[in-house]
Order: sequence, then structure tokens, then C-alpha cells
Amino acid sequence: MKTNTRTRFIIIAIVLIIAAYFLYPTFKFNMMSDAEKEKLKLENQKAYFNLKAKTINLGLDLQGGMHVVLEVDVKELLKRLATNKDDVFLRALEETEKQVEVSDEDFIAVLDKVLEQKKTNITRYYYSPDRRTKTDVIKYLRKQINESVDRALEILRNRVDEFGVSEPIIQKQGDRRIIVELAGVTNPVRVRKLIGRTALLEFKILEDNVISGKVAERINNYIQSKISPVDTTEIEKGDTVAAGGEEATSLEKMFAGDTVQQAAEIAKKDSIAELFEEGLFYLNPRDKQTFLVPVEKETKFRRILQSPEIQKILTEEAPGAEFIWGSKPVYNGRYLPLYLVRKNVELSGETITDAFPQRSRDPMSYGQYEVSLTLNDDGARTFARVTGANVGKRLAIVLDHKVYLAPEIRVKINNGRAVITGLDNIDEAQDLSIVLKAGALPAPVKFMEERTVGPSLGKDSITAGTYSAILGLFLVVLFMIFYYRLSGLVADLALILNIIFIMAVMAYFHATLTLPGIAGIILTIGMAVDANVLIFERVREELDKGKTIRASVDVGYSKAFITIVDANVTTFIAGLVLYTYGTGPIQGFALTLMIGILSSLFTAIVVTRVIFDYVLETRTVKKLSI
Amino acid sequence: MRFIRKTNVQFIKIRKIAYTVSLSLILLSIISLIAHGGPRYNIDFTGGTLIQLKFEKPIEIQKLRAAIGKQGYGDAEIKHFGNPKEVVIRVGNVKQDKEVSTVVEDLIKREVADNPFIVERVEKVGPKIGHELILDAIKAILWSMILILIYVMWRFEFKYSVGAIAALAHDVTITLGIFSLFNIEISAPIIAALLTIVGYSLNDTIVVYDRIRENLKLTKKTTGDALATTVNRSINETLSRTIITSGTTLIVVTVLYFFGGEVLRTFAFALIIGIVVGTYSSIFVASPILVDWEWKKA
Repeated sequence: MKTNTRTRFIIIAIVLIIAAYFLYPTFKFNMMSDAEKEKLKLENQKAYFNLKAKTINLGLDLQGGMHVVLEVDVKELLKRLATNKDDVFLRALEETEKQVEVSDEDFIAVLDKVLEQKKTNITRYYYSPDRRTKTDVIKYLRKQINESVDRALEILRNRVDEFGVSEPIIQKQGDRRIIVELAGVTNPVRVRKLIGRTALLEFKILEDNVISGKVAERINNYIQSKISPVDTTEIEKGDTVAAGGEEATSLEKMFAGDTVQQAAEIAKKDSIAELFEEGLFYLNPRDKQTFLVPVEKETKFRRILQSPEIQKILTEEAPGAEFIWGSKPVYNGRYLPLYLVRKNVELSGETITDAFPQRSRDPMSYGQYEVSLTLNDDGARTFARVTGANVGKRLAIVLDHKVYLAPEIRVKINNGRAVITGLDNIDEAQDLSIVLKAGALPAPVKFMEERTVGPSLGKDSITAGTYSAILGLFLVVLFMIFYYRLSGLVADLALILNIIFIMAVMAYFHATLTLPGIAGIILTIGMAVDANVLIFERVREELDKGKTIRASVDVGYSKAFITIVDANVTTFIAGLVLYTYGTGPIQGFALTLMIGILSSLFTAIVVTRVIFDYVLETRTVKKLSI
Repeated sequence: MRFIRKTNVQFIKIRKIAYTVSLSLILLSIISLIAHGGPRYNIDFTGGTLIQLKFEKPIEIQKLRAAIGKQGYGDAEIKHFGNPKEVVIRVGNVKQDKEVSTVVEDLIKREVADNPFIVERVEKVGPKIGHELILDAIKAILWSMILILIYVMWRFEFKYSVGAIAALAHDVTITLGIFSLFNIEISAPIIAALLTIVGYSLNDTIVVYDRIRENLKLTKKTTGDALATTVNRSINETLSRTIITSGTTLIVVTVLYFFGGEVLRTFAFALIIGIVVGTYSSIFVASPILVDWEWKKA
């Protein structure tokens, strides 16, 4: 053997050893049973994650899991930051949202334009002594948006960490988006709640029963005035309030006969006229304070509440108060509570230092799941002051604009502790503790994209992918031997090495193998032999011309080389572009395709050449098996 | 073993026929695309919700449609996915508070209680993401064409890149056309397949070009009939390789089509079409155009 050939052999051997070294962890990890993995994870977590970090990572489409793309709701954020939100401003926000939805324009730029069309300007709503000009305001808003994304990212990271998923991916995409990838998680409902909720906790005081009663009366009068008397026959009777055992005093009985015929006729022309009917709401007879809306009528009543007439009643009877819906239906799930709550925020969730789930020991709610909150000194002081000043009133615990509970304040609370009770199960209590501890998002987030793959589909995909790869490989190997005889066998060897190298490179970079990635490898199997086909065809041509075997091989390799490089660069460019513009699984495909091209250049040109050279140098070949 | 010995097919002479075939196919593709109102995008691009369910027993589509029709999803697209136990339900963008997937799952759980199912896959894409994805896909295809054009111009000459790009546009249009004819949806992986076709088709074209360039160096005359003869000879000389490589690639892609699972089936289908069309175009379109381009100039 010539030194040159030997050197090349050694180089190939070294590359192969390195590849085996990189692949070993993946091999080892996949040979372990699930039980063994669990055991290692428990006994030596560091060793487990060290090993896992050296393996080929499986994409969510293969191992099952959830991929979510979130965007900070800029509209809500801007609404929160604005100082005097008048109707013009709110309408401008809505219009801007609609425009931005279909185009890629910048929210602030569009809002600025829309406000100018409305003969006002953005500075008016975000003015402060250190921001006087429009440029300052816009700069300030941009900064706020960017910061809100970063803060949301951090908060989400805390929440997911507490949730306990292995190797979660939480990263920023572009300026405003956040990608969350949770492997193995297949309960979208729970994850949606965990990462999607703003977790804005506020303590507010409930409006007292005199005012609530007054508002209820006027709303009822208004509704009655809109109902045509013909329809009043269908009165829902006997709506017993299960827990209290008392009969709900339906308001239509209390105010029967108030209907005005003319008004009903006018109402028919109204756009919301068809909404009005009997039994839209009742005032809970136990406290004369909580509105109870039959669950099937919730949508109708929500729309009625938005009407200007109701808003007028509110401003007249209970200025500084608003309606907030309860978190879940009560009385056997038949009524959704609605509370009249004072707008003033007495205390917010920022003061929470700890939150943990527990079961209630209170006789009223014994055994129910709840979250216990511990407040910091500041919070505890405020809490003591608020409870002290409002003994006898009810305190609404409002989370993300829903009232979770509204207990009566019996005594002043000094120890800075509060509970949120009435949760469905331990998971809910657990998740709520997590989000409350991690803190509220600076603005609500919107789910832009959400993909969940179940573990069984992932397993099926791996099986089908592996099977196709092996079958494809087998057929190509067979074909090459059939068509090129011994030379084909050499090409096959190169092909198998190629696959080993692709896997090794992926393991080294802890790259993610996706389903399209497997397709990429399969495609590479078909295309990788191309280089050898080119070479062999060339060698055949040269042999046909009557050249010696040695000369034919030399010419074949050297002439085919340029062609091979040119031809592969183009596919590589396509792969590179794909990697740049693609996301997730598609990037996985582009990645395997590119690695495959590079590695096939090495195996098809260097490896096969060495074998040919070795054979031609060590023995006298009369006829080349090609 | 050899399938193809020395050939001397008059590819250049019959190029008018090839052009007619290609132009008709392109025309057909465009007509189909127009008739269908553009390519049929899946939820990756249009936005919407896809739910894949696996039932314990075979399930009838009608039954499911009746079930989810109760909440106004009667016009959703429901199809079996690979076997009668699995279905894919597609719902367009709906503006509502509750999650479409949850509502649909609950409905089916209630209405088809005798046939339990597991949720295999849920994909929900907002309209905005879809819109951006279309832009990204178009950008990706254009950029890859531009970069490849530059590379070919650098390695060869301008006239070569004209033929190459014509072949590429030919391949992408016809593949899209066939998808439109078969009413197959364009998803994000299909865009990846299209780009792979772009790369693959060029691979073939460049092998032929390389031979043309090599042969041209040997002959002194590089214009007119001499060019036509050289180009024709080059195509013939590389014909064996073109067919073998296309063959091995087709083998694996066909395996992928039949055994790679439902998720990859359309992806494999796109590649099969692309490889066939790409191989055809590198022989019958890319190189003959080179000859015509030269003749026009002369």
C-alpha cells in the first residue's frame, strides 16, 4: 500500500471513530428501557441530562408534545398604558387591530395614522412631562412593547419551570413572538391555562346590596319595557336555589305588570330587541347582592349589558363600579354569578411572595381545593388596612377579570394571608399557584399557533419512518450491487458510512430530528449514490474508450469531481434557503438534507476512492467489476 | 449490467415536440390553478384548526358530521386518514372564545359515546401566521432561484442560467398544477418538497451542462449546428447517469410514499412528481433552450 493511500485510510478510520464516539450516547440512550431511564433520572439527574444532551433530539412531531407561538396583545398593552381612554381612542384601537390583522404593518404606526384621521393625536393619550413630543411618545411605546415581550418571556419561563417539563424551549421569535415547546405534554387545555392566562390578581370591594338591588331593579325595568307582553307567559318557575334551599325570587314576579306595550314595539326594531326575554337574571335572594344569570342565557345577557342604556344606569346608580362575571357557574352549574364590583383596585397580585395548593379546612368549604397566598410586608399592611376599613363588606378576589370568590370580611386580617378557594381539582390549584407565584404577564398573550402531537402518533411516525428508511436503503443497496457489481458494493459501503456520519453530526450538535427530517435522510439515501453513479458512469466511458483500468478510474474521479460539486452546491443552496425561512420540522428537513450533502461528498469521493486505490495497488485487476 | 449503452437520441431535433408537451402541461397547470382559484392552501397558510382523532372502531364520516354539526361545524372538512379508524377534521378560522378543538372533541365524545377516541394531533394556526407563512414560502422559492441563478452564472455562463431557470419554473409550475388537478392541499412540508425539487432538478441540469461545457472545450465551433450536435451528444452521454440517479431517488421516494405514513404521503407524492418532471426538464427543456438561445443571438 502506498503511504498516500495509508494516510487516507487512517483519516477515514479516525473520522469513523469520532462518529462512533458521538453516536454512542444516542445508541446507549435509545437502548435503555423507559424504566431504566426513570431510574437513572432519579438516582443521578445530572448524569441523565448529560447523557440526554449528547443524543439526537427528537422533534415534537416524533416524541409528542406541544408547540405554541404566542404574541403579546399589543392592543391590550396600549390600552393599559393610556392615561385618558375616551371613546375615540378605544375605537381607534379596534380599527388599528383590524387593519394590522391583515397586513404586516406596525401597530403603533397604524394607530398613529388612525388617530390623526380622527383629528386627534397619539401624544394626547401617553403624554407625560418627560415625553412631550410625538417622537418621544412613540419611542416610549416601542420600548414598552419590547420590554413587555421580555418580561412575558421571563414569567413564562418561571411558570414552565415550575410546571416540570424536561427540556422546555421558551424563546423569542422576532420582536414580538414567543415560542414555547413542551415535549411530552399532551393536555392542551391545561397548558393553555398555564401559559395563556395573564394571572392578573386584584382584590376589589363588592358594591353593597342596597346599590346592587337598585341597579337590578332598574335593569329589570328596562328589560321588561323591551319585552312584548305576549311573550311573558313563559315564565320560568321554581328555579330553586339548591344550596340554600330557598326559592329564588324571580324579579319578573316582583315587577310584574310593568311592561309597556309601545316600548315593546319600538324594541322590536332594535338590533338587540330579540335578546330580551323573561328570566334573564335573578338577584340571589340570600345576599340580595349577587346577580345570577342562567347559564344558557349568558351570551344574551352579556350583550344586553353592553347596551348604552345599561351603561347609563350604572353611571347613575353606581358610579365607580363595574360588572364582573364569576369564574364558574353555581347552584349545580345552572347560574353564572355576576358581581357589581367597585373599580378601585385595593390590592394586586404583585405583593404575593408565595402561593401553594391545599385543601380547605374551613367548615364552609371543607375539603375543597384552594390556593393559599402569602403577601409581602407591604401587601400585608395594605390588606390589613383594607380589611379593617371594610368589615362587613364583601371582598371580591378577581383573577383575570373573573371573580373567583367574594367572601364577607368578618375581621381585620393582619397576617397577610389570603385564600382562593373553590377550585375544581388539585391540578387547577397547583397550576394557579404556579402562575400566581410567577407573577402576572404585562399584557395578555394571544395564541397565534398551537400544535399538539400525541405520543402514539409520534411513535407511529418513527416506526413508519425507520421502516421506510431501512427498506429504501435495502433496495438502493441491492440495485447498486446488481448494476455495478463489486463497485456497487463499494458505493453501498460509502452510503452506509454516510448515514452513520449524518447521525453522528446530528448527535454532536444535539440537533433535532423531525419527521420531515427522516424524510430528508431517506431522500439523501437516494441521492447520495448519485456521486458514485456519476463516477462509475464516467469510468465505464473511459474503459469503453480503451483506457487502462488505472487511468479510467483516475479520469473518472477527477472529471466527475467538478460535476459532483457543482450539482450538490445547488441542492445545498436550496437547503440553506429552506433552513432560513422554514420553521420547526421544515428546518429539520433542511438540516438533514444539508448534512447529507456534505457527508455524501466525503463518503462518495474520498472513501470509495481509497478503496479503489487500495485494490488497484495491492492486486492485479484484469477486469474491473463495474 | 447496463441498461443504456451508447445512445444517440436526437433530443435537439425533437425539441419542438418537447416544447409543445411542456407548454401544454404548463398551460393545463395554469388553467387548473385559475379554475381552482389558486393553489389550495392547508391550514398552515389559511389558518384554522386541524384535529386528528383515532377511534377504537371504524367510524363513519356522516356520523361525525352530524355530531359536530350541532354546534355549527357541519361544513367542516372531515376525511379518513389512512384507515377507517382515523379521521382528520379541518375547521376554518372561527372567532369565538372557546377553543374549537375542545368544543369539537367534547361534542364527539358526547354524540359518539359508543366509540371512544384519542386525540392524535391538534394544529391551530392563526390567520396572521398563515399569511406570513405564504410570504415566507414565496420568498424562499424566489431566493433559492436567485441564488442558484447567480451560482450557475458564476460557474457557467449567463445563457446556461436562462435554461436552468426556465427548467425550474417549468418544474415548479407543473408540480403545483398537478397538485391543483388532484386537489391536494399545499402545506408547509410541500413547500419544502418544492424547494427540494428545485435543487434536485438543477442537480440533473448541471450534470448535463457540465458535460456540454467539457465537450465544447474539445470542439472549436461553439455556435449554430455544431453547438446543437455537442449539446445533443452531451445529453446522450449523461443519459445513463440521469436515469440511474433518478431511478434510485424514485425508489426511496416511492417507498416513502407507500410506507412512510399518512403524514408524509403528500410530501412524498410531491417529490415523485418533481423528480419525474425535473428529470424530463433537464433533458428536454434546460439544454435545448441553450441551443435556441444561441441561435436567436446568431
